[in-house]
Amino acid sequence: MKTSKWIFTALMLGIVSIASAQTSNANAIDKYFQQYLDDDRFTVVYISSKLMSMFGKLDVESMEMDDNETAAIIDLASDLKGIRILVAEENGAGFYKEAKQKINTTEYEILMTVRNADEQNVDFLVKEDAAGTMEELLLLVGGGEEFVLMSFVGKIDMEKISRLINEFDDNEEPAEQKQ
Amino acid sequence: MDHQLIRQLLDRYFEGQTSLEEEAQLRRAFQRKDLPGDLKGYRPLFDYLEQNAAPELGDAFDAKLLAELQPQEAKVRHLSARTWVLRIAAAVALAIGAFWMYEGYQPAQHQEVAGVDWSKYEVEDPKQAFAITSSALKRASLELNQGTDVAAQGFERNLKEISRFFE
Repeated sequence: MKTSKWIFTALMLGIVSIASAQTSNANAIDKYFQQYLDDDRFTVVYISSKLMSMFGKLDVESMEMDDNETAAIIDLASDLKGIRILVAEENGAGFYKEAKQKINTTEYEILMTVRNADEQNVDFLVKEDAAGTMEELLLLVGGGEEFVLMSFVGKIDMEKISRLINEFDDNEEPAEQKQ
Repeated sequence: MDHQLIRQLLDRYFEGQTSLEEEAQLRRAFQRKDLPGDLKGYRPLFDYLEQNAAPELGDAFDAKLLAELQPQEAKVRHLSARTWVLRIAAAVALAIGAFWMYEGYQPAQHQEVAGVDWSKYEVEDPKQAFAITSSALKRASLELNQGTDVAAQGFERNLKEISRFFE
């Protein structure tokens, strides 16, 4: 009797874990924005983790980039499992509104919302696993003629992001001069 | 049966080579009174075997056995009833589990049908990928930093490069 109870419990646990693993695999774009992928108004870009793992071997010297900044980018990219970008250069506000309605807010938590002077809405959404580790960072920008949806899947370290922000701030002046 | 034959059978008996029939012969032979002295010593053994060759079970034994079996039978029936309840519970649980799994797999199957084949959107040149990744990360971090104006300009430049790449 006891054995069958254990088997039963183990079976149920197995089913539950399979079911939850199934839901955590997909990213927001696969889930909510599939129809945009075949839409000509959208530019779709996907960068795999395999490609990002090759960044370390690139000859970054020839790219005229700051070494620290490059290092910070490579460091951030090494934690990622994939980047998916959806960009449209029209109907920014419309797409933004549509996207906001589609995203399941019980699964994605809003990190921040900004509405800037250009009438542009910027949203950051995060999906965390049960342990509170960030699984996906979703950036949603919409307004004017621009709509951007970026999905960063993987463990995103906020410390590393702030380091990149600092690097970028340091290089803001020379970047402006280059322009 | 002459004594010589009895001795031969006895030897084979102790070697464990006698057949059932020969053993019956031996038991009968030892019931005789006119046994020589050396064979008499074996008589109690064969007497015992003859008496216990086929012990008959009396009615008392039957009654006792049935009395033993009765409560056990009842117990077994009780257990099997519980087993059935468990089986039904397990079947229901499996059905629920299967439903969950079906629900869970639905979107996945849907995706396959819809064909989210990311490889067709995948950037293949590592340098290009790096440029896009860095602009994407910069955009994200700068948006996070609310430095939106500068980022927008920077990203628009990169965006044009991305679009050019896919033309």
